[in-house]
Amino acid sequence: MDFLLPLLLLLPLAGAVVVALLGSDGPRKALAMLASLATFAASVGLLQNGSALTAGEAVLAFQRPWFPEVGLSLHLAADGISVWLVLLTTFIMPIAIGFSNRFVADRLGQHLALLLLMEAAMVGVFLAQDLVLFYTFFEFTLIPMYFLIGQWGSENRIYAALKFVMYTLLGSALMLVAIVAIFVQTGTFSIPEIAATLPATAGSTFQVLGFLAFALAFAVKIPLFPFHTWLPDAHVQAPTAGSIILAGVLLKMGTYGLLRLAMPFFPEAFASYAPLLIVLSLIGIVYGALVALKQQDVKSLVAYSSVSHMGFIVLGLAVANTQAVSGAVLQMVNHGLSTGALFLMVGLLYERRHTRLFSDFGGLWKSVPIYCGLLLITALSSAGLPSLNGFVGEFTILLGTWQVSPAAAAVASTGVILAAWYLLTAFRKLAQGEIRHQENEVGVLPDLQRSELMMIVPLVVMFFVIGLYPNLLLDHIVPAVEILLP
Amino acid sequence: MNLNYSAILPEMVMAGGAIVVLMVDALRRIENHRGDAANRGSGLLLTLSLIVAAGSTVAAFAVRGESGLMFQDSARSDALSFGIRLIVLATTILVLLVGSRYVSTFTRYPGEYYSLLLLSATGMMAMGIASDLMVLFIALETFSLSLILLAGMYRHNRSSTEASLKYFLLGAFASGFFVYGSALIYGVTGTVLFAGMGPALQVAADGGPGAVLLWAGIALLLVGFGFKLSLVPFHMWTPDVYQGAPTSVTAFMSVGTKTAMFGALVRIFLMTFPYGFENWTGPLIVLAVLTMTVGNVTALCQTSIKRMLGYSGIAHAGYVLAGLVPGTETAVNSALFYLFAYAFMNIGAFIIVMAIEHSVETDVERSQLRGTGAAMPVLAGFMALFLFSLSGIPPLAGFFGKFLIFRSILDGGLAWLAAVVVVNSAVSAYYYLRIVVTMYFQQRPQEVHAPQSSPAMQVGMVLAGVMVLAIGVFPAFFMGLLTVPGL
Repeated sequence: MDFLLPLLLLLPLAGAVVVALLGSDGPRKALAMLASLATFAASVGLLQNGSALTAGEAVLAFQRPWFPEVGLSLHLAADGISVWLVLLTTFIMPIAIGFSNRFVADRLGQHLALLLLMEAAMVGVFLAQDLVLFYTFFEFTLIPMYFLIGQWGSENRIYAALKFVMYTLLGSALMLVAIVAIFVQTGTFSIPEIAATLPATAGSTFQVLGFLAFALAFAVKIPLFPFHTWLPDAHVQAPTAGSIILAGVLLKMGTYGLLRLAMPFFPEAFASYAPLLIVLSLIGIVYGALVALKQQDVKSLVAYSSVSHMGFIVLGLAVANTQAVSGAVLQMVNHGLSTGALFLMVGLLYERRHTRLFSDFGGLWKSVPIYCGLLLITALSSAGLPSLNGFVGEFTILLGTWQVSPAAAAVASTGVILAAWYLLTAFRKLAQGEIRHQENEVGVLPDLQRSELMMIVPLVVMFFVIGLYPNLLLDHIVPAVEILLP
Repeated sequence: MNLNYSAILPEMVMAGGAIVVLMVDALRRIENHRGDAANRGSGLLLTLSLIVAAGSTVAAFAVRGESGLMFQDSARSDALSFGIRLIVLATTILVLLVGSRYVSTFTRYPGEYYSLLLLSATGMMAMGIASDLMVLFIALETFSLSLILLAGMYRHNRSSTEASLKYFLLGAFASGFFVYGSALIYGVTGTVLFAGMGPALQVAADGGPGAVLLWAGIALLLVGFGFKLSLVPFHMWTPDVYQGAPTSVTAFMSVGTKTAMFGALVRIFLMTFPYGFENWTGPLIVLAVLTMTVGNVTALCQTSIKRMLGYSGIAHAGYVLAGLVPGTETAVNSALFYLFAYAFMNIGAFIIVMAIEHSVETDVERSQLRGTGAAMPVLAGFMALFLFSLSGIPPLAGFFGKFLIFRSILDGGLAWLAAVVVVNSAVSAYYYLRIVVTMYFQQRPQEVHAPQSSPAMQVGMVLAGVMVLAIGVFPAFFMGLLTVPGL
C-alpha cells in the first residue's frame, strides 16, 4: 500500500482550502504556487518504479473501501499512460497559477483555490481505478471550470460557462446509467476487473448501447466533431489560466476515457464504430484547420486548432494498433504542452494590449523579439516541425494509421499542412511586416519579463526534450498500451 | 396483546413535547400579557422544542432494535419506521434551527408555531409505524391539519392565507379519496389491519370475489397518495402553497410530507399488497416519469426561488418514486437514502432563501440574488453547495442519492427508466446553475441589503452544508446509520 497517489490528490486539495481561507493576496500567491510545485515534485516520484512501468504494470496501487454495500472503493493506481498525463497536469498547473498570480487581481483567493481544486480533480481522473470514482472526478472538474469561466471570463462568459456545463452534463448523463448497468452485469466497479470480464460476458446490444453512452460523454469532452461547438465559446471567453488548463489537460480526459474505458470495455462495439470515429476525426481535423484559417481573433484560432489537433488523437485511438494508440497518448501530452503554451502566449499578449484581433498587431518582431522568438517555436511545435514534440506524436499516429487505412492517413496529413499554414500565417500577421499601431512601437510594448519567461521557458524546454528524446515517454506508454489493447 | 410503549417512545416524546411547549407558551403569555412582550421568551420555546426533538432522536436510536407488530397489530416497528423517524427528526431539527427571529417575522404566537411543528412531526413519524388503515389515516390527518395551520401562520399576508385554504381544500379532497379507498379495501378484506389482510388479498388478487372493489380501493388510495406527494397530475396545489406559506413551513413540508407519505406508500404497496404488485408498477412508472418531467420543465420557467424549489421538489418526488418501482429492499433503502440527502440539501437551500428574504421581505425573485457571491460570500457559497448537490454533481449528497436510485432501477431491469431519470436530472442542473450564475456572474445593480441571519440560522446552514458534504464523502456511514441490518 502506497500513499503517493492519495498525496497527489490531497496536496492541491489542502492547498485550495488554505488559499481560500488566507486573508491577503501575498501569502495566497506564494502558497498556491508552493502547493502546485509540491504536487509536481511529488508526481515526479511516480517515475520511481521505472522498471515496472516499462513492463506495462500499474504501480503504487492504493485501495480503501468507500461504500462497500454498493461495491465502491477508493482505488487509485498509475500505469505508463496515467503517469505521463498526471505529470502533464502537475507540470502545467504551476504555469497557470503563475500567470494568474501575475495578472489576476479580482478575487484572487477564490481564483487560485479553484485552480487547485481543478488540479486535484484532474489528477483523480487519470488515477482512478474505480468507475464511480472516475465519474466523480470527471464531473467534479465542471464546478471549478464553470466558476473560472463565469467569473473571470470576457464579455460573453455567462453564455459560455452555462453552455460548457450543460453540454458536458448532458453528454455524460447516460454514461452514469451505463456505469451502473455495467455493475449490474459484472458485479464490480473496478476498472481492471471490468476490462477483464465484461467483453466476454456482455451481449452485443449491451456492448453497443454501453459504448455509445461512454463515447457520447467523451466525444463531447474531447470535443469530437460535431460535438465541438462549446469549445470555441468556452476557450475564447475563459481567462487565460482557464484556457491553458482546458486545452492542456481537460480535453485529454475525454481521449483518456475513450482509451481507458470505452475501448477495453466494449471491444466489439468499438471495432464496429471505429470507422465512424475515424471519419468524424478526419472531418474534425480538416474542418477545425479550415475554420482556424479564417479567424480574426488569435484565441479563437488556437481554439479551432485544438479541434483539429484533438482529431489526430481520436484518429490514433480509433485506428487501434499499438503504434497509433501510443502516438495518440504521446500526442495527448504534446498537445497539452503546445496548446497550453499557445494560450499562454496569447494571454501574455492580451494582458499587454487588451485585444486579440490580428488587425491590431503586426511587426511585433521589432518591438518584442524575445516574445516573438518563443511564439515562433511554440507555433512550430504545434504545427509539428521535426525535432519538436508535435512531430513525433503526429508522425507516429500517421504511421499507425497508414497500416490500416492509407486514405485516412492521407486526409489526416492535409491537417498537418493546414496547421503549418494557419499557424505561420498567424505568426506573420502578428510578428512580421510593419508596425501599424502606436501601442506596438518599440519601447512602448514591453517584452517578456523574467517572471513571464519562467512560465514559458519550461514549456519550450519540454518541446525539445520530447522532440529529441520521445522514448522517455514511449518506453512507458507503449507497454501500457499493449496491455490495454485487446 | 402487545402494548409495547417503549417502541413508540420517539413519537410519545414528540407529542408530549408539543403539549409542554403549548403549556409553557400559555404561562408565558399570562405572565406578560401587557405591552410589547409578544416575543419575549420565544427563545425559551425554541430551546424547549429543540430539546424535545433531540430527546426524540435519542429515543429513536434507543429503540432502534425493536421490531415487530404491537398494539394489537396496528403498529409496526422495523427498519422502515426507523428510517422515516430519522429523516423526519433531521428535518424538524433543521427547521427549528431557523430560529426565533425568523419566526417572529410572520407570527406573534411562536408557541403555536413550535407546538404545531412538533405535532406535525409526530404525525409524520407515526406514518412510518402505522400498520392499520385507521392509524394511518389518523397520522395523516395529524400532520396535515397541523401543516394547514402552519401554512396560514402569516395571518396578515394574503398569499399565506390563500396557501392555507388551498392546502386545506385539496388536502380534504385527498383525504376523501384516501378514506373511500380504505373503506373499499375494508369491505373486501374485512379488516383494517395490514397484518390480517393477507389471505383476503391473495384471494382477490387471484381474481376471486371482490377483485374489482379491491383494485378500485387501491387505485383510490394511490390518488390520495398522489395528492399528498404532489405527483403529477395531482400537483397543482404545490407551487402556490409552497410560495405562499412562511418559508420555514415550506421547507418543513417539502421534506417531511414526502418522507412520511413515501414511508406509508412502501408500507402499503410493497409490504401489504405485494400480491399483484407488478400490476401497479405500470401506473407507478407513468406517474414517476410524468412527475419528474413536468416538475423539471415547469421549474425551468420560474423566476421566484420558492416556486422553483416547489417544482423542483415535484421532480425529486418523481425520482424517488421511480427508485421504488422495482419494489425490492434495496429500492426502499435507496429511497430512504435519497430522502435523507434531500432533507439537508433542500432545507439548506430554503434556509438561504429565508436569510435573503429577511432582508427584502417579499417573495425572493432570482434577480434579487444578483451579486450575492461577492457581497455575501459565505451565504452564496453554501447556496451553491446546496444547488450543486440538488443537481446531483458528485461527490455531494444528492449524487449518491441519485446513484443509488439508478442502481435500484437498473437492478429491476428498467434501463430506459434510469435513462429518463438521468436525463431529467441533467436538465434540472440548468435551473439550479442559473441561480449560481445570478449569484456569482452578475453584478448587483444597487446597494446590497445585508442578510439578517440569526446565529441559530447560521448553525442550521452550516449543519446542512456539512451534512451535504459528509453524506457525499462517507456514504457508507450514513447508509449504515439509516438502515437497520437484519430487521
